[in-house]
Amino acid sequence: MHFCHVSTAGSVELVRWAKSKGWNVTAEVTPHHLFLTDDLVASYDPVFKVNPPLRTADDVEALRAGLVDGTIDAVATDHAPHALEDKETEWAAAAFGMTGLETALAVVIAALTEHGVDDPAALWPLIADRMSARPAAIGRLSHQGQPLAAGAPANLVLVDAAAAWTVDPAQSASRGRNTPFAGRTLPARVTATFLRGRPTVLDGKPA
Amino acid sequence: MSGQNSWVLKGVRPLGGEPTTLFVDDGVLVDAEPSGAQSFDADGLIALPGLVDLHTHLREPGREDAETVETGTLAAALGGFTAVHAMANTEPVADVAGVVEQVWRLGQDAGHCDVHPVGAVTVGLRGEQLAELGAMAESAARVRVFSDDGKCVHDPMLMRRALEYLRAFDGVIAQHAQDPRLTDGAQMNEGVQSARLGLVG
Ligand SMILES: [Zn+2]
Repeated sequence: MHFCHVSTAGSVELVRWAKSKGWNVTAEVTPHHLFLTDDLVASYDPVFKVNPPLRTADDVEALRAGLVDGTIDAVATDHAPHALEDKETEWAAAAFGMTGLETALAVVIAALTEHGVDDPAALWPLIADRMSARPAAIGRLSHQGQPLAAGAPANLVLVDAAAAWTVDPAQSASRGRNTPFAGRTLPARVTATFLRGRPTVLDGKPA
Repeated sequence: MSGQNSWVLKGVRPLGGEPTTLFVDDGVLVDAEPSGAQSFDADGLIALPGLVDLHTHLREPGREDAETVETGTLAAALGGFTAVHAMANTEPVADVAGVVEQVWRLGQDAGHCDVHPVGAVTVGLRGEQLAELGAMAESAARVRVFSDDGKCVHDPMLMRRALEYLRAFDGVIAQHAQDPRLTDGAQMNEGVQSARLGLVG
């Protein structure tokens, strides 16, 4: 059994307990639950309406700790684009969900750095494991998430760790404009992505 | 072999380690420089294995006004992903081989990243009757992850039968940790903030 978007300190504890019993369970967390807290809802901006909802700072801390110690196996975006008329409406009527594919890596880096995982020797292997190797294993994908070693398919991403950038929903390749990170400056940009050796992204743009 | 998918990536730092050169020969990482490879100045860039997303809503078929496989997978590639799992709550629902094969083919045609459709556990995500789990697994899409996503499978007998089916092809069920009976009508986190704002927590 794999648990989708764990979002509270209590559910992290539940997964930790289940794993300690030797049960075959895995769990994922979203980038937004690793970074955003429920005080943002005070704006009544439906861009922050999501299921499960944004939680407290204590929950965010527990999720970060769970991701670092391996209780939570994977980051998964729950990328949920919505048409404007479904999202930009009053809070109660607005659809649940946020986009996340283009910001996931930078948000996870920001969350882990805030949590004190700022040594590159710890940070990058952790990201490779939680955002590539373990999700590939959970999804039973033998051709993805492999170590960068001879014989592996050349599925890889090149990241400029020093390039901070500001999120602009209008620049998104997704049709969804409902990013909760609009206007935020995030660390690290994707420079290039290779799918079996073929570039899909070069210089941060579609190849 | 050499050419378009052969690369010399100079100066990359695999997993943030010491700068080195990575060689790609016809789509596969190799130890030595292949002939005819293109050179890429990757000085100081961190190299990671392509990211894999277990939970992506691509909205196609049915809500192409919100997202398509083309736009969603391009967004994924720009975010560093080489594979995404497309959730089943499309219109129609991905509960039969035909729909998962359609989504898988759209992903192949777009070419931005691999698209692995997630199959619905139950017909129409309604939690009443098992979907065509085996047929989706055996289809061209080779579905291995099954989920009713926001709608948990509550019937323990149904869940047990689904898990028995999945054992035959090492499939996995992805399920919310929460019980929706406790969160009917919920709009936000229950607690200080929801009390303050007067929303249903
Ligand atoms: Zn979802």
